[in-house]
Amino acid sequence: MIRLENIEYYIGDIHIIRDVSLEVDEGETLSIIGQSGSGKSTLLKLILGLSRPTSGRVYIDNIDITDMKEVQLREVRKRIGMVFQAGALFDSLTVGENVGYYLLEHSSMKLSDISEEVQQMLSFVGLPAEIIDRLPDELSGGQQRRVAIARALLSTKPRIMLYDEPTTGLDPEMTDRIVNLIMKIKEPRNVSQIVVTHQIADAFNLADRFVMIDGGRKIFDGDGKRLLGSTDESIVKFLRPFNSVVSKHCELLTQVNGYNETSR
Amino acid sequence: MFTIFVKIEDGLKKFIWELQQMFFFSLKMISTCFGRPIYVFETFEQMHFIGIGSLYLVVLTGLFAGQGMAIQFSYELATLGSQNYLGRILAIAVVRELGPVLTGLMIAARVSSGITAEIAAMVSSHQVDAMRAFGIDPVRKLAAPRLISLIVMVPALTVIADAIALLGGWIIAIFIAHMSSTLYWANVLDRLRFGNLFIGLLKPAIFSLVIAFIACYKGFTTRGGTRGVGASTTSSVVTSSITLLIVNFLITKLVISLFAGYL
Repeated sequence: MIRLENIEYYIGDIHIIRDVSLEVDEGETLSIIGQSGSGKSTLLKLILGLSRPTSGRVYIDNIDITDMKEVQLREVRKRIGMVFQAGALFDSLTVGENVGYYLLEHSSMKLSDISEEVQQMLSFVGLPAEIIDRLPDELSGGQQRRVAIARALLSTKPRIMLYDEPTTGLDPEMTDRIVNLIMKIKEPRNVSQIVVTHQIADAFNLADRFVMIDGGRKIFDGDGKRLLGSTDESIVKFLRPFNSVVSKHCELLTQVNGYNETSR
Repeated sequence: MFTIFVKIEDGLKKFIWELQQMFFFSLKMISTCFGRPIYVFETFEQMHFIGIGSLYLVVLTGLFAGQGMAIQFSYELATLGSQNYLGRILAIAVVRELGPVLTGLMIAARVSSGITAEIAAMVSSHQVDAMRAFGIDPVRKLAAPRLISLIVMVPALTVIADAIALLGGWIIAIFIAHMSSTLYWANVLDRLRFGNLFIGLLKPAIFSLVIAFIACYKGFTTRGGTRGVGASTTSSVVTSSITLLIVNFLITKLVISLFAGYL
């Protein structure tokens, strides 16, 4: 569904992404983890065609989008929903206009129909209809993220969802809500998802598979069990601050798969 | 010594590269004005912001600049015994130079800063990326309405500024120079010929392009968060003001060289 082949990406002289290849299958949730500034968000931009790789190829549904013109990319992007870091809501538009943005721009639907769709979507992401006329500035961080998710979902009914740090800066309760929402999105339509995060707990809750990026290089690609069992110094160092989370998952894995924590 | 040459070379390369990027961006902006979708609401919204929003600025500038010039001219002409020519000289000065340049500079200060700051803030908060992700061409959506609005509004505001400046000159002519009102307006109308009016409208039309290209380019190429937004906005105002004065000189020189007999 999504395939990156030997991606290299430079901004000026800075080498951002170094020879990264990865694949995401239909219905799979991949979590890209790594330190801040390691190039995780850049990978999402490359998948969406917002940035062009210096070398390497990007495939969406086996279509090579690497050298596509912007006009052609717009068609590809219709299959992809993107939730940007901190929401990236249009701050001069109301919540309703934000959520219904795609329909307002691209469809010939009546305003009343769009409004109905917007309300349904707000209800789906667990937001009250009263906030429809509020500006993004008047919402909490968690509400803004949910509006951003609603906007991405209503836009194109996407088959691929990309999330850039969807829970960063949120309190535990709001984080849980967002995580549950992301899981809820995946199920009915077998949506493929990529979640970029440095919140290990969320990554373990959401992902079927993990890719770890360090200094723009892919240093791990595999499931949670292999990640926890890795002896790679960078991975161990990255996971160390999250020991309690990791231990909790080791216990769960022990119960489910007979995984032995001492093997780490 | 060698380092200085390397720095100059790097600076020149950067300047030429930037100029080239701005040129391609300007071409893209022009091309997005044609074809669909046409953002009519956004265009009228911008016309309101640029036109109505700048009206008070242009009226005040025109009035006081016209009066100031009229006082200067009337004293100087009085020493030559030619005070009756105040209307003629003021009309030429206002319509050919003062009106377009002052209006252009005022719009450059007020509007280009607004355009750059708004677009730069959207770039910085990934709203422009979000637009692209939703299949919307941000240049068509954000830059084209501003370009069209400036092309319509800058000449219109210049005409208003010219009229107000000439009115200011009339007040000075009546109450300070003690001229006859009829003589003043007869002189003014005598110089409002096609050539002068043409140059007086050509300039603001070209200034509007300069302001739109620079303001939008600076906005879209912003880097570096909040500080970057501030830097782009300042750079936009400074660049557009200086470019506008250079372009004004070039147009004046070109028109005088080619059409001196018609002015």
